[in-house]
Amino acid sequence: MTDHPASSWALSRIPGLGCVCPCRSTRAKGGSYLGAVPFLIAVTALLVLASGVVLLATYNARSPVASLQILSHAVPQGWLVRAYHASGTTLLAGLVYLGLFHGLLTRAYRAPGEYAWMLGVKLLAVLLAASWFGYVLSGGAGGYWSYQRAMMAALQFHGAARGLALWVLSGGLPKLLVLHLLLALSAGLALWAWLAARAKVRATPPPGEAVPFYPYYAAQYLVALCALGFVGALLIGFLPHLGMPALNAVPGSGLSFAANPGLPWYLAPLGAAAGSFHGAWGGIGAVIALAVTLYAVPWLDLAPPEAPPSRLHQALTWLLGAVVVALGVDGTMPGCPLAPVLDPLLTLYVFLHFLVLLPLVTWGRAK
Amino acid sequence: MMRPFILPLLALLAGAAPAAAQTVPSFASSGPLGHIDAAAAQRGFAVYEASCAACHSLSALHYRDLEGLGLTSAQVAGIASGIKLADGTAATPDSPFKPATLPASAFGGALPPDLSSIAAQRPGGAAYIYAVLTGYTPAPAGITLMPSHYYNSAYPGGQIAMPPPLHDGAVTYADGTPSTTAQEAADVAEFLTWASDPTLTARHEIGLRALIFFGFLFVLALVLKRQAWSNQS
Repeated sequence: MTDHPASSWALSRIPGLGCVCPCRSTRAKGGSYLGAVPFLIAVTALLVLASGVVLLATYNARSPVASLQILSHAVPQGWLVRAYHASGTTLLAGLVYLGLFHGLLTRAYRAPGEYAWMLGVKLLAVLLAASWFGYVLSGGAGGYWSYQRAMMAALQFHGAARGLALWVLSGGLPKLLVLHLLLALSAGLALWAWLAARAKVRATPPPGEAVPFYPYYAAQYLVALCALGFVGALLIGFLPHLGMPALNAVPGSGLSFAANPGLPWYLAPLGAAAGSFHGAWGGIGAVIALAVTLYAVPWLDLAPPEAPPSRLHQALTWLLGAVVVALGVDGTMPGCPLAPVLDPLLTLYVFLHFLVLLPLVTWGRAK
Repeated sequence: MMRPFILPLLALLAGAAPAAAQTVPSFASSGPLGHIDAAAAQRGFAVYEASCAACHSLSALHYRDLEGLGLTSAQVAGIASGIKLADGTAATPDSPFKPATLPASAFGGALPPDLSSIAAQRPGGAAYIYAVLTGYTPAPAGITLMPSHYYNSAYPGGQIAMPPPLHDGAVTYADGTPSTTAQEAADVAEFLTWASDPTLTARHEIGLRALIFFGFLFVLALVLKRQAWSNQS
């Protein structure tokens, strides 16, 4: 295999690049386009981080709506930077969800990929936390009342949990801005660690089945990159507020009360699952239980690592995907009369899938 | 068989205005390739100044932003100089739009909303604004109106505290367009859509160009990929 001189130059000089860059790897023939999802996540994350840095130049946490309006109205192409950041977040969350779903479908979490899987779950968790802070920082009524609800929940805690929650949430938007930046940087680190862990455990294909990354998979990644650009252009140009509650266009204030502020689509499944349980502790317990369950998936799947996923396993994974989408749709419709019944059932099914159905389906193959 | 189910669903997905019984005109700004009709929005600004500005603010806009509607710097400076601010001085192009002059007490404590992003806030956008502005009718039999409220078929709940703001001939359009109530409502709806999203036209233009660019690049990359893999199949 021959390296491109530019990639050889970069790989031999830039620390940490070799463990995430796929250019020196060999791959099995016939890989799917979904294999490019981690690369697309990295590209989108860079775009979101870069646009976030530009946003920082004009954003004022003490008057968020006014500063964003100045950016949109008075700064040349400022609206485009804001659209990159908002639509980039939508793309990024969608790609991370897609990457994890693909991992569940193909059993990418099986040994030796357990650690890479756990880092992927961590990436999703940090990304969602960062995006919630970003939603609140937009200054809209949706974010404002979501923040107020979190404050009210924190007041229900006792002892150290109450102190910690209030420390995080009190201090207003300036402190949330700092936490948003810290979480965004943490998401960047989690992404790098995830890519490195995936590269480390990537199976080496048998000699007759292997092809070098360049030019074969480089060409495939280019197609995926163009598709990403197409979807990005569609979102920025025509659907800039996709999945955002319309309420967030109203400037947030204590005078415009919203009992059900709603959440952006990428937070909606988690919000609906948390809302299925009684009280603040119930909601937080549900979120923690979901994260722990996702972490434990490699050990809940009892089939041998080398076994391909069975049809029943794949069918159940598709059903799980549909259930999560239904939770998300329900979560983006605040005040939906079916929500009190539907959300607990759907959340229960998610736990049922991982804790009962997955071990049961894979147990037969373990014997 | 499916028609009775699908049509309301499509209307819901399109964000149709609730309970809007009257015919709503098609707006240039609506639809995926829509653009701001600068002439209509300029007329809408005149309607806003004449009929809305006393009660509703437009805090996100400066007078210089009107250049985005195709007005020249001199025209904007002329408009601004004709507006007297609270301190008695004349506005300049860099002044924010003059805040509403009437206090909250004039409205029974319920301050009329700022209109900067009203089109983005309400499902249906311009169509909703038009429907509310033209939706004043006598209350149907059996409906008792609350004090100082008016019946409006397009407003959620049917009762609105705002008196009918428009009437025929409320403004005189410079371009000679007849100023009927429906025309004024359509023009001010287009103006408020622009105020809510001043970059709508540019966004759609850039989006379309980017879609064509990436679509072409996608096909090119696909051909390149197939060529690269051809010796492996």
